[in-house]
Amino acid sequence: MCYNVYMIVLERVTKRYGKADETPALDNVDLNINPREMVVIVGSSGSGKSTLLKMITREELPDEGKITVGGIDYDTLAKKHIPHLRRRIGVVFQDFKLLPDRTVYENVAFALEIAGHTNAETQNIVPRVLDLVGLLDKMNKLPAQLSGGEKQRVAIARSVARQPRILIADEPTGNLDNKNTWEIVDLVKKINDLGTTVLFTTHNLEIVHRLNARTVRIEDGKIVADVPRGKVVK
Amino acid sequence: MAKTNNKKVEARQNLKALTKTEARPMLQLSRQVKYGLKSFLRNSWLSVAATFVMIMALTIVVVALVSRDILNNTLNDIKENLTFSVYLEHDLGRERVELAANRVRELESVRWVGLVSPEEAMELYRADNHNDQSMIDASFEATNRFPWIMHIKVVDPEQTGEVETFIRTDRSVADLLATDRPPSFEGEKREIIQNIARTTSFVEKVGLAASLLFVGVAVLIVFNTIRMAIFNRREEIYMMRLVGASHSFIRGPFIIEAMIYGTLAALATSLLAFSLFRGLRAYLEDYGVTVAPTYEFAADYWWAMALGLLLLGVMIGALAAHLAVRRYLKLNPR
Repeated sequence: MCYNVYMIVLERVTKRYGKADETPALDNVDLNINPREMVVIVGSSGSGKSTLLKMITREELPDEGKITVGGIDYDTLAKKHIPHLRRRIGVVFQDFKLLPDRTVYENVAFALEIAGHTNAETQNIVPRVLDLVGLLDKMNKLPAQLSGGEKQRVAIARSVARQPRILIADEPTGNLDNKNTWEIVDLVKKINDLGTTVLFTTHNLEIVHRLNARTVRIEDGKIVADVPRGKVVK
Repeated sequence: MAKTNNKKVEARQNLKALTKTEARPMLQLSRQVKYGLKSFLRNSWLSVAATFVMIMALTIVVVALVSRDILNNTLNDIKENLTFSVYLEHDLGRERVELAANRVRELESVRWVGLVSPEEAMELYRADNHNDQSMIDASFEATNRFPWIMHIKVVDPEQTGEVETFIRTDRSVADLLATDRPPSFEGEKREIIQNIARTTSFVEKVGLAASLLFVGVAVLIVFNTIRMAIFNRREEIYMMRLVGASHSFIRGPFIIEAMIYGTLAALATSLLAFSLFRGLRAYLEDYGVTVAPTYEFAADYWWAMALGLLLLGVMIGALAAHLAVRRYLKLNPR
């Protein structure tokens, strides 16, 4: 029997960056996310969205509360096991964070090589993932030769190449025009349909409607609304 | 209770599943070498600058070591040629003087004893003045009043006490001393001799300290260069961490890169130092500096010196990069 049914569990999580009397970045947050679920996190800048995501990638530690991801309790997770954990979580950022001096192929292969995949495995996986994001014909280009939407698709390919159980997309459409935004949104939906749990942050209501997923609103570090899939988010 | 146990078992299973990856250390090492090489080539300006800095550092070390060796050789030469002169009465028979010389030879602190008779002294005088016929003529007319001279070379010019005491107290020598010419142990000459001895020991110590100091400086310079490289590539390091690179994997390429700086710098420094040494040899010898033993050693064992420099360069690079990345990862733990 599987005791932990949730993919991500945050229990009364609080994080402060400043003094104790200042407003915390996250304030007593409870959040459960199911496997294969897509959750859209909305909120204004500084509301605590990024801090929440950093907690899940274990870049930040909570001052109070408990985090469990994929059945791994972060309180008992040794430092040496953090890289293993991160190989199960894909991350996409607004500013892509591609390595500018490496080709599209090398950027994607990089994630696999670090995780210890053989050259044969890498050569097999990278073209398939680039095909998934529609960039097979651009694998030898450098990031500077790509459009914003293409760069974000490379970043997505890099993050899903290791078949992570969770994909974290931190405002991935923030730097894109409309056409590219919808392409990325559809791509993320496709990845979710393939079975990956997705957390997607945005403050664009149109995207929220298009994704048609559970939506969590954060304000001043607190979850103020948790709207199930299919309900209208205002 | 059962629930708690289930929870613990499942946590253990989850962790086991998480960390279950095939260990491929050689593959990972080869990738770190590949990344290190690539970033050396891709960051060509920083690589050139870092290698240049390393060449300077290694050159300083080589110059310090070679200077120390040359100075030691020069001072050893001075020490070896340092001769104390003891003047004996001029009218003594050879047998008596030989007997005294043999007594002095028996002393542990004495390396060599040579004798110059009044007749030989006169011949030397004439040879010295061979351009001055009037002096030569006068020498034939005058009575030979040159003393017997006992030349003594000691093992250590700083330790002349035993010889001095012996010459003044042992009757086989003390009774023969010329009354009008004190031995060269005394007065100004003695002070010069002791100054040379003190300088030798000081230069040895300073040379060693300078060599160590410059190795430390080289480590610091490369440390800061690697820190600059890390600063330039902090986004890359951040990404490496987020995609699951371990600290040792992040550290590897930087260490490889710094080892490449060290290797290239060692090769360049070997060539530079040898050419410089070759060019300066004649110039230094004109100033009475003893260059030959060091130069000959360098010519015979150039490969050993190049290998030593290579090891030093690689070690400086690896150590500095290791410290720089460790510091960065410590300051940015997650």
